[in-house]
Amino acid sequence: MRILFVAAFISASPILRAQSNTDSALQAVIERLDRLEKQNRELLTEVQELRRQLGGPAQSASADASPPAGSSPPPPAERLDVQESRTEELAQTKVGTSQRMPVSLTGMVLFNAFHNGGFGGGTEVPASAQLAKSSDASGATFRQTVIGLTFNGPDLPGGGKASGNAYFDFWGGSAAPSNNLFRVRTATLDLAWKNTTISAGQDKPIVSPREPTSLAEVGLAPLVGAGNLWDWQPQLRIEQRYSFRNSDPNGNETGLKLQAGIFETSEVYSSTAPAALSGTLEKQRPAYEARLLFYRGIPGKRRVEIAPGVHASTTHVAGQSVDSRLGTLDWLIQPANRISLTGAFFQGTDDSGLGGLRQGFTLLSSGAAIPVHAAGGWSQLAVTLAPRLSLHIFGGEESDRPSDLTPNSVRRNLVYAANAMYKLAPNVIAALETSQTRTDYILSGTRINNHYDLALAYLF
Amino acid sequence: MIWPLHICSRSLGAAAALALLALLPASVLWAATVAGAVELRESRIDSVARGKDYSGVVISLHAVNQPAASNAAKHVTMLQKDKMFTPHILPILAGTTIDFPNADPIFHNAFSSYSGQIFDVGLYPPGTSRSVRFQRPGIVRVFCNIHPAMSAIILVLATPHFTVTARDGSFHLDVPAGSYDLRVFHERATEQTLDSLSRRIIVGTDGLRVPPISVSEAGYLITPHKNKYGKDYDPPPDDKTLYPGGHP
Repeated sequence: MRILFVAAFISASPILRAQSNTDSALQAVIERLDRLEKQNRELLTEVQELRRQLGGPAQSASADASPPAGSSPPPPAERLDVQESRTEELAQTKVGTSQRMPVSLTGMVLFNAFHNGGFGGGTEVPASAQLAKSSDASGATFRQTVIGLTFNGPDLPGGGKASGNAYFDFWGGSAAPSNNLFRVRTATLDLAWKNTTISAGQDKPIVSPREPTSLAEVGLAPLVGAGNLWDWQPQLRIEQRYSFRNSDPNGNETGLKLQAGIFETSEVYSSTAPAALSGTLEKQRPAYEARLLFYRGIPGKRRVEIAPGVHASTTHVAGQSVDSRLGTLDWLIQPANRISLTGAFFQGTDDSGLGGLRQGFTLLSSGAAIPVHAAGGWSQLAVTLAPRLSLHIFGGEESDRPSDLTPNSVRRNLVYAANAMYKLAPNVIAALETSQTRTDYILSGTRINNHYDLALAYLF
Repeated sequence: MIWPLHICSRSLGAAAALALLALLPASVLWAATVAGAVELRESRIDSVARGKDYSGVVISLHAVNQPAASNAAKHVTMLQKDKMFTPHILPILAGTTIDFPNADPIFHNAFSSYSGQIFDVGLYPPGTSRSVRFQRPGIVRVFCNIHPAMSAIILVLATPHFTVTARDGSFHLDVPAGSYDLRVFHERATEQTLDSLSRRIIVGTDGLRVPPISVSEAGYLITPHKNKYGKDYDPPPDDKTLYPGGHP
């Protein structure tokens, strides 16, 4: 029996060896097939990418709009029904233009009812508490209503596109209801290509594009003279964009935007300077500005933006030159969908040409003109408490170096405010805002003004 | 409806129980569970490649040699909230009506112009809803004409036997015993890949455990879609500013 078993084992050995060889050969074939399949998929990806670059149809499974192969076209009746409903939707009066380019009308009808304390200076939106006390003032206005035109097109050589906008309000003239003048607030004409945009327009300084959220202060920017460099001035700028994670399927985006340009300053002769020399001030001067924005966006509307900037210009007054040099930093931190923290900071000399405290230089009794050193900034916390209800808490200040100032100049202007906004409808907003302005004067002490505003806005 | 033939009982209670069972259709009596798991490979999506999120794959079973089902009369919901369609993948039986309630505080639209059944519910305000009945099987890619980032897929099927995989890729379906064609749909897989995954299965009364299904996302490309007029989307309104002409 044992002999038989051994004989059988010996005779079966070649078969087992052959079986083993076959298994290993089969394994090798399977591995090779796997490799070929992987290579095939990689080649398919490359072909689709090349087709996409050539503008041809991409046979991909992406969320594009191409019909899947083999699917039957929709019946004509179904298509007709859809077209009829779209025609009906379009049956409304359109704005016609002489150049036959589409222009859209947009804007906001804004009603404000306000109350100012005794140091409001009689203005509707006081930027600082006035030195002299007067009576409290209340009123209402539509002057902050904004009307805008936007246009998109035509195409430009090189795959670019022209677009832009112009926004107007009634803040010109005086506060008297019959004397509100229509004026240009901001305007932009953009010539944009994939990574480059050239803009000519009138807007905030390149180095200070952000501001707090307010319906109380629209005709003037919020926190004027309290850390927000806001002057809407003519400018020519170029923006170059660098995206580090282009077409990331996860929705992440990371990149840089480099902005640079020429900004026209709005020079102001300080009210404390000798009146006899006011005519020597050049009202506009060119400024050179640059800002580098780094951004990182994460799905879920989380986002971080940090942007340092520089400004350089020269004020000409009394036959002398006063250097305006500012370093800036602005930011947006959005840790969650409903919370954001924004702000800006600046430091340097002679900020009046950008919308600072309007005391950028001092004329000494010796006749010399010296720049006023200034530092300022603002920050805002915005929280969306409910889909229709949001809360904004913000504050800002500008501090000017006392040794550069004359008596009764403003040493420090601090404003803090809070507002709640409720959307009565998608385009109708009611807002209640309260703010306090604390202004410190050289040798004259601090003045405080309280401001209350009830706003009702209709966006269109 | 098929009735059980062999009722044999010695007690009245047992007879009553069997009588109750006899009232049920055979499809319920003989329901068997088809279970399995899907794995997604070669994905560029972080939540898939690293987080092993294998949800959103549609598994459908089509009975062999039986007419297609298309007489559903029920309503299901695809919500528009936070500028998203939810759910993103919605398989339905042909004949089903989908309601598109707008739960955002802004206007929305829902349209499909390119594949499957075309439709356009127009622009509609918050707090309202629009409905569309989908009658033909196919893949309906849904977009919003105002918000280009919004998209969803409605998979209209000619079978009532379908499910969507859970986060771990697992799925199970209760179907009558019989022979079926198993089909797989995944939005980031090519048509060739999905075709290669189709297979015929025979489900016994004790159910069936399907071997793991491995779906490759190789070849998936993100390409922008057009608006409902077939044009590029206009730049979206700047929702970073409170009002037109404002600053962020």
